[in-house]
Amino acid sequence: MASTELSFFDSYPATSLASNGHSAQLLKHLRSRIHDFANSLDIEDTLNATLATLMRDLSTEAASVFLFSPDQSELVCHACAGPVDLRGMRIPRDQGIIGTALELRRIQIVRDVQQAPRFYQGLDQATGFTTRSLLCAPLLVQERALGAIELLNKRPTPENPQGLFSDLDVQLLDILASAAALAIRSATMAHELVRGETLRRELQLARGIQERFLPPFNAADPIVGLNQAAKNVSGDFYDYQRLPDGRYAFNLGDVSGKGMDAAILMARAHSLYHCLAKTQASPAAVLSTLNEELCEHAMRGLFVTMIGGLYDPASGEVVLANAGHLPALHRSTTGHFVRYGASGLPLGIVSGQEIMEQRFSLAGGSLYLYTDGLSEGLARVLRLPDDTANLERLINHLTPLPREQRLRQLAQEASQLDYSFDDLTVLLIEEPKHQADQARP
Amino acid sequence: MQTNITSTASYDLLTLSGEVDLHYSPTLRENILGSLKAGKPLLVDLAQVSYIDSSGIASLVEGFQTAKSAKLGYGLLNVSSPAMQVLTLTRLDKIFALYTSTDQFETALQA
Repeated sequence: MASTELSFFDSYPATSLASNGHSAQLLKHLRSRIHDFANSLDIEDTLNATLATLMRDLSTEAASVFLFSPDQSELVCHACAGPVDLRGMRIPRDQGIIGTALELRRIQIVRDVQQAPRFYQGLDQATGFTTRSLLCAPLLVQERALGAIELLNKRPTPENPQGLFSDLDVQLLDILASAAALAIRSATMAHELVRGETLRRELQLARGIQERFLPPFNAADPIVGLNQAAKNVSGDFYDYQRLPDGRYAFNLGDVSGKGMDAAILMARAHSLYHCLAKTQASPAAVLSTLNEELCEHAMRGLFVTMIGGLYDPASGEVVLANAGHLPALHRSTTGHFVRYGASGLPLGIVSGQEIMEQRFSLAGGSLYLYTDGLSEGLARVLRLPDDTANLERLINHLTPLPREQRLRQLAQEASQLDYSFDDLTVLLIEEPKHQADQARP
Repeated sequence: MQTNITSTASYDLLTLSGEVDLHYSPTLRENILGSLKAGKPLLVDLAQVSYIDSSGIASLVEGFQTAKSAKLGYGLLNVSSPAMQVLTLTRLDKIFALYTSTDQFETALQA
């Protein structure tokens, strides 16, 4: 309990107003303040309202709210009222009277700072303000400290000519600080919810932009693709386009890592390839040019593995260039596979590299390009080491299905454990055969 | 993933073990760049790595690029079979200097 004989520096446990007596008007006043706190969801409004209320009710010259920095190492002034602006000022978390209030979880009163060796002089020195006395309450919610409120220099009155904080001031601050702490936490949570929702919308927008990069479905095209993002945005991509001579330029790539930086690099690689493929006849030349571009602006070791290719529906000829990507799988009509592995390094690591091309005839078969989200996902489901043979067996099993349904089924098989931590992309080059090939995957 | 760094007079040895994935690759990056930015050649021991994904490879690649521009020695030691499979598939085994002993790396540093 607080003593009525206040020393120059005391700690105050929570006390009851009832022991001091109070008027019905004071209770009404407190109820109104607490109601205001409970209804505020804006952090800035809440803090400013808190200080305005406390300064008025306790008749002080200045007031400030310090909250913990995100890493909890410092206290940062988020709001203040009075002759100097402290906002943004930082103090070490264990310094001064605030540090003591937070450590002891109790209100601190200093009637004369000259007599208090723990008083932190730094703020007065930085602002020119002269602190004579102060009252400091920790802001606690369920024993978790959010920060502290400080009230500085009680104004003198005829009844209190020395301007000393009273026992009643301590009790008032105790009650209002509890309500303020709850209000600050509610406002912080509301702010985080809004931020989370804004971020979610931005990511949805980014995903929408990525999806518009994908080529529009055309049932007559001999190419179909599927892209499934692990997060909101994908580091995988595929693209194809019909060239004026009737051939199709296609590519599939995977950016190392995931998230926004991978998605940005993906967007860059995608756009460059799409543009270069219109003017350069050779997939290896496109990848080499792309490599030089990516090497010029390398970022944080990120690289792109990519297969670029051309398919000529008239002759069935396929030209492939594989820059550090998983092997492309050519399945013949009899179910045999030929793997076309990397013929060059991933893009964006070493400039001046040569990428070899590989040529073969599709011969009525199918060509599968895929990212590790498919092969590794499948290995996890099968509880087997990651092996291309797993995928080949599954492809043979699913081959009777129409193209789009087959891709969906492949993705489903690799995702059935709900391991959605990797992007998954498959591109299939195969002439449409089934009626059901008219449906989009 | 667990990491351990030991320093010799002429280089740092960073030993990795376990799974190196997206969760741990920032720590790996920090360790690799910490040594290289302090001007020390770096040897990364991958003998106990059971899995490495593309984000982990990206950290190794960034180390390679940083070492190259700073003209510092950089290499991989005793690459485990799962890690070597990834390096071979992507052909990155062609660009990294691979060593089977610390003596080999020390000799290469003196060359």
